[in-house]
Amino acid sequence: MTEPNEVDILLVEDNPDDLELTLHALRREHLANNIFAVRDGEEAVEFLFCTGRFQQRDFDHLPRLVLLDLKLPKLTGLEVLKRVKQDPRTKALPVVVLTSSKEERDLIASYNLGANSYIQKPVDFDRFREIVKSTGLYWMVINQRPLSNPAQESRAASQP
Amino acid sequence: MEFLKRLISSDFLPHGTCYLWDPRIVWLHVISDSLITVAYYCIPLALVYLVRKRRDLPFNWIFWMFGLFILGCGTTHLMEVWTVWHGTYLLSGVVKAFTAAISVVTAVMLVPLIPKAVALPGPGQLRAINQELKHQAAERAQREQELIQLTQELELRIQNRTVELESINRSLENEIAIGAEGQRALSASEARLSSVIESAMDAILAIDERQRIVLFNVAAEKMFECSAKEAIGQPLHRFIPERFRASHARYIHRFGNTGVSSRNMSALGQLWGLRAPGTEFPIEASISQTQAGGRKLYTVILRDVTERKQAEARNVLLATIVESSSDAVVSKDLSGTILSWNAGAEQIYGYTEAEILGKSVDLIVPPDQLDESNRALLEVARGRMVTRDETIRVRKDGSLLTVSLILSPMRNAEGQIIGISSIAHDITARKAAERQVRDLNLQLEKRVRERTVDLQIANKELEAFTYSVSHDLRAPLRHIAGFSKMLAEECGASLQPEGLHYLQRIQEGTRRMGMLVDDLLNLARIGRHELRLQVTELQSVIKDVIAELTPDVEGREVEWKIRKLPHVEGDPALLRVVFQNLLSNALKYTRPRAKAIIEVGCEQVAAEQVVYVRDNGVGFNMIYADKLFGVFERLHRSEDFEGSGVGLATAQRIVQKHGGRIWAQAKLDKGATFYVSFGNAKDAEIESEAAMAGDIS
Repeated sequence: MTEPNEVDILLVEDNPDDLELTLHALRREHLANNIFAVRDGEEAVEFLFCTGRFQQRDFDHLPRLVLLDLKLPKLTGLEVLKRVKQDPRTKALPVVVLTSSKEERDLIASYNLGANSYIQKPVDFDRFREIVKSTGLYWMVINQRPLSNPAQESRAASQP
Repeated sequence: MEFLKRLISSDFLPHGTCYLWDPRIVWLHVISDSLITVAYYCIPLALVYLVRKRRDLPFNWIFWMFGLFILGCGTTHLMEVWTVWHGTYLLSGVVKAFTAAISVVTAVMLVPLIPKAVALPGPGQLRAINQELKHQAAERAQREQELIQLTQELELRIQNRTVELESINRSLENEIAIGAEGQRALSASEARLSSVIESAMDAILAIDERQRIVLFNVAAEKMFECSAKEAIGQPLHRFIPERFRASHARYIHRFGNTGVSSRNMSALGQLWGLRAPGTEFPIEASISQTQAGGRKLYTVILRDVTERKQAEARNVLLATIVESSSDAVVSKDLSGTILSWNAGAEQIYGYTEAEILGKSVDLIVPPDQLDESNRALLEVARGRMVTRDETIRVRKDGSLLTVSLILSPMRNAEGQIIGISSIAHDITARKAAERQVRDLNLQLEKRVRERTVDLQIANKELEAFTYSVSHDLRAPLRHIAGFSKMLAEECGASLQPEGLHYLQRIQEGTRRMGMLVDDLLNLARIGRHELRLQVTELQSVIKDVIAELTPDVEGREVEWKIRKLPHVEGDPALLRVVFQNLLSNALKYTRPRAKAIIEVGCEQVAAEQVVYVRDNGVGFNMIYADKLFGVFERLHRSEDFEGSGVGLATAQRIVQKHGGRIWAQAKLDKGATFYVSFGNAKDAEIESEAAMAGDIS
């Protein structure tokens, strides 16, 4: 398992099959070396906000991308998304919803909470790999992100 | 003024001084002058007396003049006395001058008078004249006597003659007076009679014994629309309708023989008159007979009773209406005593007319309604109409009924309110029916509410179901697909060819399963989809769908025949799904044809616009037509034509949701035609949702 302070992609997924297939797809494309998986919403929140099991984690080392399933034990994906997007420290963190559901209400709720992208996992495995590949490519390579943590910047700006 | 002052001033020495105030001389003058004055003042008085007494004195004015002049002389002497002691000589001079003036005038006037005075006869002359006069007078008296005698004689004769004439005159006058008065009386009575006849409201006709008209008054002219000039001399039957003429003539003849002076003609039954223009009208008549100059004269008095007959007919009609009305029509006086009671009232309240006439209307009012009823009666008595949509009354048997009521005032010819009329309509049955309807409605509403709750629960379940299908059913499918793929890729080399084949079949299965799940979810989603209706141009929908199907057309010869299509009211996104299914089906099932011909058009069937999609494909046997739109129902093997069996079911669901219908006509191997009609979307939505819920549960 990757060291929590050096995570590129945080994968939030409760289903071991899905977890394995997603990890397989991500690794196959060599898009990220450091992938960290958490298995429920609560763990995801603890990881991101450095609480509970992840008290020792350094807040300044946020992952570069979160892949979030919606149907999760304890806290649902939407609740996790809400906390991330409401907190100024994590607001700028890219969150991509990766789920089985194509329900309109899930789509609308996700976008309203500030999801950066919404992807339905297709049944066809080739197409799934294709999608994972292009998503990783986009967020890890193509997309530009600020060098420093935007949250720290905003904190600095708001201090007199 | 100055003169007057000087007149009475006595600056001069008094005259006495000239007498040296010798008393003898002074008194001599004074007494003499005084006596002259007195004498002089007396003479005019005597003259005046004379003149007044002897009015016949000729030239009497000269005596006035003498009087005046002597008075002046007297005053002059008086002034002489005065001047003895007072030197007012101017005054005495003036008086003297006045006297002088009068003296001169008198003298001058006297001169021409002298000859006349000389001519006056003396007394001897007068005596002779008198003698002569006496003689003449005697003669005259004698002649007068004679004249008087003559006159008396004449007068006597005149008197006699006058008496004679007067008597003649009187008798003449008498005769004249008698004649004139008779004449006057006669013509006055005639005028009166004529004016009575002419101003009568009734038509008055007189006929002679041959029944020819001899009199025809103004009212008759009006009634028969014929002038008297035309009518007089005509036979009476001209104004009688032909069918009555014989009986009328007989009647008058018999009446002539009875000797009765007058009689009402009602024995003939209803009489009819005939106007000159030929119209008939009802009349009432009486006849009388008189003898005039030895001849018989009949007088007929007629009255046009058209209006009265009409009024009677109207009254009969109104009475019939009231009597035949099923409503209770009741009249009462202002104290509430019942005056009339129709059959409807008998029916409704159970009292017969005989039972209730003269009784109080309170009989049919329940005790607790009496106040209200009295208030209403009072209001009507004040001239207002009162209506009650619903009020309670009581029948003879004590049972209650509900009536709607109209109370209105009845007025006499002078407009005074003399009673109250009421019309009551029994609405007991209607009220019961209304109650029933209300109860039924309440029941229905309750059932609708229950059903709605059921539907809501069913919908929730359905949503939960589709949500879980969406999530949970697809997940294992993906896993099977994913791991079998990885197995093939990573361990393919170590597998037998059969093993690889099986893996392929697993993957094929998962792919089909994925498609089925997606289609089913689509179908469910459409059921829950809320219609967003707008006028949609089908032409452009079809154009877009065909453009989307381009990849499927590749390498094939396909002829699209798109006819003129209507605008329909519908949800554009869903309409698109319908035609996607229909057109992709058409394309799919024409695949064996060298040239596919697909036609889209519109037909007017009865009041409906029906859009059709026709192809020249493989068609189907119509005995399976009812399976066509069922979910997962397929008429072809999937090796021949791929598909989930959900497409047409989806299309049907959408069309039903719009309130329309979808059906097909086909023949095996001869192509198929799908028809879509669009109904009223709003009405259909609820039904369709109910059907959906029914399907699931």
